Amino acid sequence: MPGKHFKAVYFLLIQFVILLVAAGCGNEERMKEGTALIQQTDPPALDVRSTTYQKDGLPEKVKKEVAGIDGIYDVAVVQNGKKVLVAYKVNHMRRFQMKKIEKEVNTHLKKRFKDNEFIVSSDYKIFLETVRLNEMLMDQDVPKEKAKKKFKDIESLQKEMT
Amino acid sequence: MANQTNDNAAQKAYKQLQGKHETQRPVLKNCLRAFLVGGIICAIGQAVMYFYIYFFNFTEQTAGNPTTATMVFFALLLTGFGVYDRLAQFGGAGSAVPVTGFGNAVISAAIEHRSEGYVLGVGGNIFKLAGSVIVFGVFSAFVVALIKTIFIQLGG
Repeated sequence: MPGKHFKAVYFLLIQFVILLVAAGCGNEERMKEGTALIQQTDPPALDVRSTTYQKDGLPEKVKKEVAGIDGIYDVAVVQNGKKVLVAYKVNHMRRFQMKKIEKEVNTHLKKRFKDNEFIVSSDYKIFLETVRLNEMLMDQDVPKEKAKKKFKDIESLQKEMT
Repeated sequence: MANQTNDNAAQKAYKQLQGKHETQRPVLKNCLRAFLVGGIICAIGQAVMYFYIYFFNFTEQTAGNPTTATMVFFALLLTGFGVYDRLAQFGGAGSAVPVTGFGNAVISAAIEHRSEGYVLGVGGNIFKLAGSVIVFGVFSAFVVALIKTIFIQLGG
């Protein structure tokens, strides 16, 4: 009888190892989105309209400004016209001051970029969706309408929370 | 009067004798076990929460509700299979303090009184242990909400 149990456990272990190997061999692009919640991703800041990365574009400037604020370590930025989506992660020990940091980011961005409207969030879901949108834009062949729809979806998700 | 003082002295002597022979509780070991088991349960909870955030349309704030429900469901299954009791024997407070302990309290009462029938047995006793937790939670939420409302009405 114990032999039977051992066989079942052995079979499960082998399945688990195969699953791990299969996950490890996956597409690297997908891996970035897959580990966005637990690892630092640092995605390039993009614009929904242009889709090509510009080193001195507004999204990149916004990203640099936000990343410079104390307690923030991973920033994802996507721009759509005047609206700029800013999602970031807060250091674990500073998570008690989330509200204060969000206020700081908002006032800092409003002061620095007066003509733009910012959607700021430290929620993991918003960050994950922003990284997904970012990867969508990096793929280039995605229609712009689809990317804009995704942007609006994230915006409504953020509004739902407040 | 003399009898009473004699009784007190005997009680004191007995207490001292009891204290001498009592086995010492391994407090540090118990704390470590509770920390380990509670930590593992919470890590599983965190993984379930990430699952809901990743695959469904839940934000960090809203993912807490389905996570709690799932953890209680896991505890129900484990209690039914008799695994949670052993875990509780090992982990002590580590298995009782997280929300899984609540699930365990509900289902173990239901299992115990199953033989008395579904209505009077299961229905009547299912919240015997966990009912006080629910009442306390609802009442304290009511009190806190009342205080907040008064503060807002006063313009705080």
